[in-house]
Amino acid sequence: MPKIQNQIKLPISVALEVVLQGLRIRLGRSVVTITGVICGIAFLMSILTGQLIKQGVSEEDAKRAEVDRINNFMKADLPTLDGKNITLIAAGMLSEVETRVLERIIADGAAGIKVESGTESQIPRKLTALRPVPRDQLIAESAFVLVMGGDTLPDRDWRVLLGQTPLALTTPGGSPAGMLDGQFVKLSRELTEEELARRAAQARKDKFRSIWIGAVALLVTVIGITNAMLMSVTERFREIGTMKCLGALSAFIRQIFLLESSMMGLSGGIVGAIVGALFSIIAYALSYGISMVAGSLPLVPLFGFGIVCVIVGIVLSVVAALYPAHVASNMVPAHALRSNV
Amino acid sequence: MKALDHTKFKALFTLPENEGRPVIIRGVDIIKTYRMGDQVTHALRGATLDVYKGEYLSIMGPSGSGKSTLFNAIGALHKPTSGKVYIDQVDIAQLDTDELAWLRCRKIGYIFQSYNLIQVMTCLENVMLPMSFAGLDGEEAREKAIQILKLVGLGHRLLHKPAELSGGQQQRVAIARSLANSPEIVLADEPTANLDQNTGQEMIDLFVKLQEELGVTIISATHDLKMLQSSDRILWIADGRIVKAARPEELDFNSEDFH
Repeated sequence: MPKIQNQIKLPISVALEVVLQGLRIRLGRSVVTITGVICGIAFLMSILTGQLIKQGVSEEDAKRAEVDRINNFMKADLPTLDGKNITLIAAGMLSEVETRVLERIIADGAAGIKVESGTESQIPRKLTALRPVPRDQLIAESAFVLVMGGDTLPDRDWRVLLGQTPLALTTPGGSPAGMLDGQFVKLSRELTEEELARRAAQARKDKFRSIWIGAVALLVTVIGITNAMLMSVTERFREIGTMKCLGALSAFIRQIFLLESSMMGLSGGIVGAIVGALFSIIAYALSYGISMVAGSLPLVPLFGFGIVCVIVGIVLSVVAALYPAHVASNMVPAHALRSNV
Repeated sequence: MKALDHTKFKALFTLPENEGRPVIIRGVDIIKTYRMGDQVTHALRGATLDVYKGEYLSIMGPSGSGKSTLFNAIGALHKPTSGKVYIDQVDIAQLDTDELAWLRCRKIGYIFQSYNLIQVMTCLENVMLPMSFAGLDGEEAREKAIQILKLVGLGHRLLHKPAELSGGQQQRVAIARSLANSPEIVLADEPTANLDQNTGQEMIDLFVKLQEELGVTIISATHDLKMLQSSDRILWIADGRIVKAARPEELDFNSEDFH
């Protein structure tokens, strides 16, 4: 007669098979559980997306204000740009504000912008129709010269070239070499200390607020997912008891629930992230307008938040299932059989 | 708690012809109490019994007499509050969870009153499940499971889910599942309760065949007269104790006790 031995450990593929079968057959119930995960993750994702959009919108607002300010400044000196030529001295990449200023100048009816320096690749694609023209004639014909871009100017005799210019302007990004000081009107605006301090305080407040909201969102998510997992385990005590009677090891039972919960976390996380992002985008689009939201939503961080949310979904689901899985796997088979959940 | 005098127990319940027969399950003074808040329920108050290897034992008792608790105790499904259960001379209290799982998987086949089939699995998968726990997989397990299901007359229902079967058919799947790992002991709780007369008789014949040809020990709780008549020995449980033992031929099945 064989003596009592240790029960063999089953490979994880067996557990996976049982889980997949269970999920498929119990589709309705699984969907309910996954919905719990979806709701939690969607909530988290919508908060995160909302923060992104709000931040983007406020940056966008600031940019628009800056563009308006610069264009108004130009208009003060030149009531109309109609039919005028403008010379652009581009040093390095143009900032977004600078690009928009140029776009606005074109929209206001400027005849053309002559690109005086820098390579074409530094000029936004929308403006590449404006090709560099022979440099001698052009500055004199220009209504004004604009210096843009963040780099220092190429080494040329700018003083001579600019000598006949009625007006030379530099935008915030433009940084003409020191020798040109005095000849330029700066369009950039220096912030006062008071303003800087106010901005820093506002940033601190915003940061605290988003951390607080994120924490609340996470808490709601944890509660939702834990509840869903707890239900999904307790309602199957009987089945667990049966499996234990048939010789299932505690580790096997635990494996089943952890595998199942991680899959639910994955699927719920993906759907939740998409739903949450869409919800936020639609909600903000309704209040700010579609173009504002579309223009100000950075896709890379949005995608990053999506990944984070999916990972949070998986981790939370597994963590939430740990306790019920532990209880289930350690149940005395007779108790599990008796329970009528 | 009084200590049990096993010699006295022997005098009471051991039939003379069983003297010296190998014992496969021995329960000694099993006490099981459940606590539900302040309420204490004494399900077993010192049940003592020997189950001989290869016998067909029936247990009778009214509901609430502790029958199911006794089943769970001698089937290693829970640990008694006090007292000992030996299966194959091994004190099950000494076994760890892995060893208990092994024992439940290979040595004992359980047939539950409420079948307890896994609802999400087909008949075939239900029967194959204990095999996979025992490490038997693939084609071999499939073949064996099909054979067992044919044996209980369900060869044509292999791929049905329990919910698609009648109560009697589910009961037969449960019986097939209990035989999956060729156990030495089959513990059956009212195995014929939901079967019609003919199928019930078939199951009894199956049990007798298992017992006689393969030497399987069969322990069943039942009120079915036919089952009682086919068994080797009948134990009565009342109020948490074994109170009487008898052979079926000593009993008058027409008496009031059985109706």
